Amino acid sequence: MRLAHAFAPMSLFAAASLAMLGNAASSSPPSLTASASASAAPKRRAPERPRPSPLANHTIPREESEPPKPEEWRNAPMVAPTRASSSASRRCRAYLVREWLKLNCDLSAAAIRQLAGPHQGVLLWVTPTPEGGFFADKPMAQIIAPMRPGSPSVFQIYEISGGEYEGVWAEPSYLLDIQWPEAEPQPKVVLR
Amino acid sequence: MRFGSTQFCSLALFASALLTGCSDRGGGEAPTSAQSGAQAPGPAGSAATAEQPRGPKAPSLSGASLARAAEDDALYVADEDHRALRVVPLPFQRDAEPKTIALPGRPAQVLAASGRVFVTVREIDESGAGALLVHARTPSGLAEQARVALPGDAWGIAITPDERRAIVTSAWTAKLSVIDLEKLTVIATLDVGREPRGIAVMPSGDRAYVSHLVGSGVTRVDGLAGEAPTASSVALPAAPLRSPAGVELSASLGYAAVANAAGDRVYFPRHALGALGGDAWWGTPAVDVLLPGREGQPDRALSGRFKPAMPKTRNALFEQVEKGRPWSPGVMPHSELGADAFVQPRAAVLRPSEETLLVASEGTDELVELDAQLSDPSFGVIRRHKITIHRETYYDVATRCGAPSGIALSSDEAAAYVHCRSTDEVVMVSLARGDGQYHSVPPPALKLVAGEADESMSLGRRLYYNATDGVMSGKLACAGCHPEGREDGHVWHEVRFAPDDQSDSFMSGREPFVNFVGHEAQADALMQRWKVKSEEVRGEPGRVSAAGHPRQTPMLVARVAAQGPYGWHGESKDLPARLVAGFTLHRWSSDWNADSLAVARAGHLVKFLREGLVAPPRAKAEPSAEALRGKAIFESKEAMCSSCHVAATGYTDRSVVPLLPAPPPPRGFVRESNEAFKTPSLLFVGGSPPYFHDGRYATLLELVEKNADRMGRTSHLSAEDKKALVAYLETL
Repeated sequence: MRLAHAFAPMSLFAAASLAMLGNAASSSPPSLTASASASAAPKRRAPERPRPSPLANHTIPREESEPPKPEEWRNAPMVAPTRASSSASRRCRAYLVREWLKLNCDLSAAAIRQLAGPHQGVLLWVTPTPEGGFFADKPMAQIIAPMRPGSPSVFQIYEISGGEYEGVWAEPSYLLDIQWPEAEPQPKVVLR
Repeated sequence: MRFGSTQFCSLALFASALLTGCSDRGGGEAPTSAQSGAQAPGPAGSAATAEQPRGPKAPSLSGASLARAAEDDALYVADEDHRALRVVPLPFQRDAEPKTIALPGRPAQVLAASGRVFVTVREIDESGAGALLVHARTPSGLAEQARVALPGDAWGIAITPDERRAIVTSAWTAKLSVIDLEKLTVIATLDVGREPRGIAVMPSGDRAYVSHLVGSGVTRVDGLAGEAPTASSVALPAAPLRSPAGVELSASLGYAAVANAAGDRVYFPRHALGALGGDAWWGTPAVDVLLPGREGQPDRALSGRFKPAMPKTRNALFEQVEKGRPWSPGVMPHSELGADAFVQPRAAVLRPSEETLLVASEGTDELVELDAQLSDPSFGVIRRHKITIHRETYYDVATRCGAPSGIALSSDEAAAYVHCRSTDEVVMVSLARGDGQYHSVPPPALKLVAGEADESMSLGRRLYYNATDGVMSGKLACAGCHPEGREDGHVWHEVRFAPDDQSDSFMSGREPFVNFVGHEAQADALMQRWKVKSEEVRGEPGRVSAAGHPRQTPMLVARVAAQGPYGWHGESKDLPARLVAGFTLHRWSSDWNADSLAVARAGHLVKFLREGLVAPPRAKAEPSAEALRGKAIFESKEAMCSSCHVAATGYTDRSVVPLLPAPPPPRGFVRESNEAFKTPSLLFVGGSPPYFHDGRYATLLELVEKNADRMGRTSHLSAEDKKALVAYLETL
């Protein structure tokens, strides 16, 4: 694994990502590959996913804090976005530390772009392309971003489609939309 | 009793009753505006002081071309093209017989409230005045209870939750009327921006927001519960997530405004002119969400704004894709998610149980369901309901259920009733829950009109709204830039593109072609993506500062009667030729030009443009003394206006006139290579700013003051003369 930062401001891709990704891998539910194996053997029940708690059940500070340290993410509760498509719910998991949100998605992401919002402390990560192939064994996309009152953020994840014969192309897949109007007590997080 | 008779000429309120012999049509003149409503005499118990009927609450506080009765036993359809109100019985059956109530003018919207049905009429009996018709539900059907005279082109309607106030927009005349529904009088008539249309009333009942067909700003109305409501403009830039960096985009096609039940979100589905996203030369769809200010706080846009140089990451595979497939959707800096969500958003409703927004996509014959929780719901298409039942094989246009223009939800929100304007039908669309999809049989449809006698006119009408016909539309219909034959107020970039000889683009070897783009940054993005070049673009890739020649969208209605020539430089000998040329201007290729498929389509469109489109209403008042003085100036030998703008032929002689060189073009455009322009028609010129072919003048007065004798002679005129000339122009 390596950090993908071909044209991103270096400061935005802190070395902490490595540690966080390791954490994510160890704390995340089984990958899609694992799920497929489980379905092929019907007698074995897939391990149950931890049940996320609704984001609205958490008190989220309006004050700004430093980005969480890796050990904080290790114990972070899994939260359910305000709204997520069923596809996104299956493939992505969100975690919360103070006003910081971490999103892990099991997909062949090729790129992530932040379209709007504050970028201080934002971390983006996609699985590197393996040597001689198109798709990693355990592909993942990760976004860490703050939720700030009055400063909506939007992130676009791009997924690789196609294959060896038809070629590959990039497609916009999931959109992470964080909105917290000043007048409202809680942020909304929509993943679609 | 005849509406507009001498007896009632000065009254703002007309109380009449169909039951007592009111004719369907009347003659004479009607008031042209209503500053404050006066109470008119009427049949006992039928008018101003009548107690409000009691019954179930209105299913929707906002009107549409289709409304469900509060009693859930009927649908009401405002059939604008046939001057009728249609009553469709519920439960919905495709073989039901709708009842028809002839109206004294073309209705725009209908709203069903407790025991009453309100209908806006754009123009009563060619009088220039609009009206709100109030129908009471009776055991035998609807009975007209009253007419409230309003400024011409009455269009949108909404009511407050307590049903004590109605708000009506008058589109062409740019007015907003607040009506007391107990006294049936006009409380206030307010001046607002161009083309006010849809209205969303807040749950408090004291405030409303209004969309506009032209421009990105919206109107806020306060004090609805009181006697002195006020209107103010609120900035709401279009599609900030899809905008070029640092640019606030304009909008068009704002037919609808929808507020949620909590009153903390107001949705404005519309078209973002110049927004980036894929191949959208015309811009992209957008649902701009406004956060109404509370406790004195200002209103704000919900969405964040796109910024360049934001964090991004990609892997090596993505880099390979970028190099090998520059047209791949992920390569452009703006997200293309939902950039094709809808085309020409003609109507919208919220579906509260699912927290979704249903949008009638007029151009693609779809009902699109969007995630209303997103900061721009156009990014979240959940479902597309194809409502077209059958298409022609020769023309890719709906023959059953085309141009959806009104939506009403069933009481359980499991179905949506959709009015299809171009085929005169209502369909019932089953709605799924969650992310579920419906790929079911075509929805049941009910025909409102037996059939059109003139097949060419009927086809021309369907083509006009259609954005899917590959020969003609280029993914945007005529109605996309010329809604109702009017115009979107936008100044387009007419750019000549040519394949880049150095690249291996699929465009290589093709003829150069001209295309319109909404913003100079859009020309830049298209050039990068498709590896083409243009000599009419200034700047480096990624930093383009100017592109193409400026071309303001022309108004079509009432201005296309002449044989020819047409085109900015008179380059098209007649209207069919211009339409065929237009098909090419509005697409990313010249390959379709002038073949038989295009010519056939143009023939039907010409029929509809000349006979189907309806001109805006005109006030029938005598011209003022100032306007008469302006007329004399217009026709004088010194000013020479009328020597080219000939009154007998629509204020144009259609000659191509070399103008004196103009000052540098507006920002973002390159200088004209041909300064000879065809004399434009001045019909309805007062309502179609901005002015000059490049839209550099915001008002007619500015045009006259800065004309510098480029058109006729005006520099000798005094300030009063210029004002008088403008006063005359506004009457044309």
